[in-house]
Amino acid sequence: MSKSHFADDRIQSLDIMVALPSIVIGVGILSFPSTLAQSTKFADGWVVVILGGLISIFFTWAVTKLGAKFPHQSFYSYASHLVSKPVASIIILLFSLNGIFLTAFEVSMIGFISHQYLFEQTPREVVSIAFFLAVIYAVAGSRSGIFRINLLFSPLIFLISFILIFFSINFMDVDHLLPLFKTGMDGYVEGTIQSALSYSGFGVLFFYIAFVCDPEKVPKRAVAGMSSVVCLYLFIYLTCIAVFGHAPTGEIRWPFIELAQSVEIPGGFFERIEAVFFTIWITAIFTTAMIGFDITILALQMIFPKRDKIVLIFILAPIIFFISLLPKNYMENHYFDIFIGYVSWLLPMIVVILFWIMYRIKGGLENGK
Amino acid sequence: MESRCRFAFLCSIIPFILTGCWDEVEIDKQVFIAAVAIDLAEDSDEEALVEVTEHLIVPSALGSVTNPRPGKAYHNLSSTGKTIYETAKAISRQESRKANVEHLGLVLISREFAETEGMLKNIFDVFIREQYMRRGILVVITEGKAKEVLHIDAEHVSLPSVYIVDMLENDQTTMTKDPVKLGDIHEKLLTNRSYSLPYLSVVTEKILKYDGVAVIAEKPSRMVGALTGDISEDRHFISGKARQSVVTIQVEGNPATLEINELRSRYVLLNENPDALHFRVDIELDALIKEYVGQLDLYDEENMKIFTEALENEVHKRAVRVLEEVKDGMQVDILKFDDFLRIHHNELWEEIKNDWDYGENYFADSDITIVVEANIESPGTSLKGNQ
Repeated sequence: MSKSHFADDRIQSLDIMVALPSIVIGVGILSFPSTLAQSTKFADGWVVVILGGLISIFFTWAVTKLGAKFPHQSFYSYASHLVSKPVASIIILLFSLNGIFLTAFEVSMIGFISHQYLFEQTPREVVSIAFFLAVIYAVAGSRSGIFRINLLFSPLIFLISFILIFFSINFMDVDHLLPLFKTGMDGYVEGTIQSALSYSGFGVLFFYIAFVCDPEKVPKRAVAGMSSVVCLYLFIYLTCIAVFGHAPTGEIRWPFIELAQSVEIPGGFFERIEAVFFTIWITAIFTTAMIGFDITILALQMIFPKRDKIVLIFILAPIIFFISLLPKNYMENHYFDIFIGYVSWLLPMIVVILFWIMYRIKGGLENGK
Repeated sequence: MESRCRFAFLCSIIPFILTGCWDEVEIDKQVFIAAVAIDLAEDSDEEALVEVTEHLIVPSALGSVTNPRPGKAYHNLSSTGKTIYETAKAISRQESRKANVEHLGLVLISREFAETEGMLKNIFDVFIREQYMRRGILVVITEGKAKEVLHIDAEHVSLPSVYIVDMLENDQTTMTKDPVKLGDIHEKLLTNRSYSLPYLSVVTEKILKYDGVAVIAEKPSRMVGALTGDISEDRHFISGKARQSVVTIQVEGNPATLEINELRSRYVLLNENPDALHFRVDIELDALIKEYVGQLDLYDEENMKIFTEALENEVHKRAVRVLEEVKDGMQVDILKFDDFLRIHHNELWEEIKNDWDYGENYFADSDITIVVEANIESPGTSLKGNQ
């Protein structure tokens, strides 16, 4: 009896490499050049993009390295070994809350941004629910389906972004990038924090590493996945600065959308690249929301193992949708964004530091236990 | 039973998915705003400040390339109001179709409007803020009423806006280089810098002319003057973009015309004291002899020197004339000395940037020396002058 390769929930380390950009690249990619340009001068933001990236890569490595010490163990089982069952349950509950808020935030943002750029008349709620239904559909199926859709979308996101950058070359002005290194220490520190925040999402690795059939390869692959995001962000940042200049980049709300609008492909045949851009960008948000929701389900299933997945989904979906409708204007959304950014960073960061300390004290699980 | 449940569920969901109807866009019911002209409002009895004229294009009236429809495919509608957006909404009351701003490519501003203090600065915001408009919109200043330019009846193109945009974008001569985009202005506004805009005037009912550049000062925020004719072209000797410009010199009483093939300019700061700034502009150029009716043998080393020196002197003279006009006359830096200081002398720049070409005006007080080094690259296909 041969089973299809994809039918079970086992995944490969390669899938992790692809899943990581999928979750990291979300709404933040649109606004991060603006945030970084506000704290640094001229093109110095590239330094903080890399510094923030290195920090994220380090934590990605720390998470996966720890996970690789417990091959094929679920997060719950190694967490309860390291920090006892009750604490593990609390941590998992926090992760699922984080997932709920993250998904709600993405659903809310899709409503707001498409309301501004794509559908002026369509009520925000309708766009949100149409998008959210697709997310629910994706999550309700098998987990390997989620990984396959990542594998499909991720390269597209990179491809379109680089096409966009390529056609921006014509609009670049090197004078905008100069002079170098004029930012003060404060600016670099603030910028590094801001840039690190835009890489949030590596927390999902805690959960997914249990499904990997070759866990020893995961740290390397995960680091590669994160590095590709850093690379993409670096190019996007420099392109925005070179095209708009430093001061306007800091003033534009979503520089990446503006970039897609500014770029005209010569020849007039395909003048409006933003149509493709929005399609691809919505798939990027979709994968983020999908993984966020999936992690929530996964986490809750660990605490309530007897509950059916579908039941959990149908209980959570209205809650998430309700939360996503709470922000009523851009300011509330902005605070929501900051909140999500910090939570999705601090939670896995604290957990991984705690776990490594406990691991040093207690050691790993005995083989076969 | 189960299948009926599913059916009912689907039916209740599907209406939500069919959201397209809200934002249905019919191309036949749209009219595209291709250009906007901004003038001062004339009847000042009300609180109206601006007069906005929209240049509206109906795509179906254009016909196709092979089968153009006769008659005008555009019309201009005007209204007055306090802000641009408010006025645009007022215009839409005169229009039967829904206005679409996505293809707006040109903003014309009358000189009179630009010269009124504080007006120019405030009109750009709406174009930057509006999400469907692009940063690539071209901005120009017109000599007379801006709306009159939109009535130009060009013979070779059917739409005035297309005529203007083509004229701005094709660099046939040095003067018509550098169309200025909205994004560039946004940057200048945010960094409080002065800038220049293309300056157009109407020659006849059918012909427009690219006169030169309008100079916009940051403080007081208004247009301070226009560089027209040769001077607007010669400024590129200093800014380094003078490729293809033509210089006529006198060599032993006979005229020779040379074309600049390649030109590089480099700014050097000699004295860093803010009160006595001293710049040197090194201009290096390669030129081709295009027309010469004298009798000198061009293959003679000495004669080449005569040509080179005459060219250097001529370029030097022209560059100095530009400086007199811009630095001493208008006292506004449109020659990018500000960018040079920002990039190469950042500490000094941070210190003086708020008094650069306004306030203390360090720019006007600075000394600028011009050094020209010319190279005659080729005499063309003829050795001697023909007479």
